[in-house]
Amino acid sequence: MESFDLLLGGFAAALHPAVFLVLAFGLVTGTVAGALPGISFVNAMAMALPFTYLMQPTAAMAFLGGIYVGGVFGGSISSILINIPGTPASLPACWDGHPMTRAGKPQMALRIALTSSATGGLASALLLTFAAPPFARFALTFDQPEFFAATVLGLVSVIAIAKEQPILSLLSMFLGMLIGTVGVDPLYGMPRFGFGQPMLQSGVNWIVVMIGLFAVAEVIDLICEERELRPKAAGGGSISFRGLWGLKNSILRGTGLGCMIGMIPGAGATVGAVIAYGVEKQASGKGARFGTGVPEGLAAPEAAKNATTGAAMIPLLTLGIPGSAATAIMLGAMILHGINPGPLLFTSDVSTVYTIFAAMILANLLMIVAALAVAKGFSTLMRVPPAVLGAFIIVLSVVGAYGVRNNIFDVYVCLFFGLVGWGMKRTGFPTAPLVLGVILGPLAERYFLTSLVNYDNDYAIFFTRPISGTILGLAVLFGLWSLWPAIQDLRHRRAGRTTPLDHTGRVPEDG
Amino acid sequence: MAHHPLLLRLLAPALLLAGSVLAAPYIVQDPEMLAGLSGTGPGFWPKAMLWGTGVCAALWLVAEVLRPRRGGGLAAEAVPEGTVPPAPDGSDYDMTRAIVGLVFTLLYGVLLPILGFPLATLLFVAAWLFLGRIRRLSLLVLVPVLGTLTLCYVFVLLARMPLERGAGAMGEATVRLYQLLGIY
Repeated sequence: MESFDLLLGGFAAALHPAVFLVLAFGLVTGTVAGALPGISFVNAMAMALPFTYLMQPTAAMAFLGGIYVGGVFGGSISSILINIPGTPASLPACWDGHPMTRAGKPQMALRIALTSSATGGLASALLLTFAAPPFARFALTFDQPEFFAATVLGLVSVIAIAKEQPILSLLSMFLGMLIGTVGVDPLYGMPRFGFGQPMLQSGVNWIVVMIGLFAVAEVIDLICEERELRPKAAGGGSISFRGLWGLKNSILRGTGLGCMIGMIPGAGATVGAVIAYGVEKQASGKGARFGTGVPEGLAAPEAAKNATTGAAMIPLLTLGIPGSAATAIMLGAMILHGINPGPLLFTSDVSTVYTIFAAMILANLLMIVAALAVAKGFSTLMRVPPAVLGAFIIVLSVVGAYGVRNNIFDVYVCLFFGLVGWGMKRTGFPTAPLVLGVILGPLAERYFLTSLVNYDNDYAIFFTRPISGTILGLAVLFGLWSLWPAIQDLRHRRAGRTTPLDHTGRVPEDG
Repeated sequence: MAHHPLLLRLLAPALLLAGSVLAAPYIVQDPEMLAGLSGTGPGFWPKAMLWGTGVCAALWLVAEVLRPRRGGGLAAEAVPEGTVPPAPDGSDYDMTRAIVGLVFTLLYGVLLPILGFPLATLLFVAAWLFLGRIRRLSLLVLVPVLGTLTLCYVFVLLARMPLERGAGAMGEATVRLYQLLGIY
């Protein structure tokens, strides 16, 4: 009961006009930033940080929490409507969300995404509120091998998202991980692939790579194809409550996965969404049709990515470990405002903690209103001629790339990857694994090397530690499960079958 | 790539395979720097990634060689249905415009530090609109001017981003413009 009393107190503080207004403003800001390709909500949070100096600590956290929650969903608006992920976590929304838009069902896609995201986010906020202490105790047992194993699980999901050929996806992923090694190494401080260029020594930022690969490459196609960006049937494509209820299992699976993955520092919304997509592809029974506008393929990753928001704050608040770039900025804001996250915070400043909990719950409820408003405005934005939109998307992408480190080199990297992304897209070479490789590769390296340093170069440590071994075992199972159709295909080809199987391993119906 | 001759289809995997082999000595500027370090030194992870890249590229190469008459290689098969634009040789894709668009985009990046953000953006937006078949003079003038001014106010004034001002006289001109606009 004490928790409920504390939460009521938290709601009272979060509903104070000054706090509530900045929360709402943060939500709209985050949703717009997330929806704008090239401007990520992490950038928006970083830019918002100086503005929090003017606020009380709880208001500052509510503001950043609002941007975080709104931004994680906002990316899906552009994914669904124009096939450009506003954030990396919104990438899966392109795969099944945008085909729905192309089929004239943008409202349906947005409602599925919004319902799933709000459900996942709310569940995650409640998890944060009621399960933070026990989860914190569990996360306390994590060490570098466990973090490495969790990152490997994320990388293995690349095979699961490979639509047809695992070799090309693996190649793309290795290239991404290779790009991630450019710059100073995490252990010895030695520059790698620097070629004597100081700019290369600072490394290749994944946000910049992502902006180039997706935004720039996509915009080039905007002016080369007679593509209609506006929703094809504005009045159609809705979905009833019954239709949404039919997606409950997908939403629940996504929410559960998102909550679990969100708590693992370093994993975050992108890993959560991608794994949820991979799992849903296997679990829904509709895997063969994934990528063509399957509601389950949209609902599960959407629920998962917003389910990571509250969960990612569990290690942040209880251990002071940020689970993502966004929570790292929140950690910075907390320290700036004199809040020291950690177990002691739950006794020394419990009212602040519960105000943050309440703000996160409110943010996920208000997100529905904010997202609907932004989505409506976004549709209006889509009425702008593609050339006008494309020009400003490139300019915003360039500004976004520049803003990451206030460095013109990042602009060059962004434009280079724009060129590469366009080429990859035209040849059907998968780009998503490359991005995941760039994001997760450096994390995997750091956790791998620090594990070895901490455990006397004992490679067996990854398998002998129970949690690490379990996660790696899951990764192996997940990989085999995903590869099984390809293995079956190979076996049938060797057996001399003339009819190739589809990528689920089944004989096509017309075959 | 799908309908290209065998040699062209082998080009990408062959280049990637060669690159993964040739890049190994360039992991650090001076390979002697790695001397004395353990097997898991700074070169360990990049080497592992090069191995991964090389093995996958070799497998891709073999797959392309073994199936020369299947009407497409791995990349062609990897294209998910409905998620990728029409083939490069498709009639509804304007390849010339795509290449001009790419050149404009790269030029924008090159001109940013020379002309400064406001002028480079103004020129880029105007050029892009023209490329996108917009011929109304009012749009060709108003959209770039108003758009650039808005971006300057948002990013330079409000977000305090130190966007490129330009080199030499262009840098001074940009500062004057910002002063005129009340940004500085």
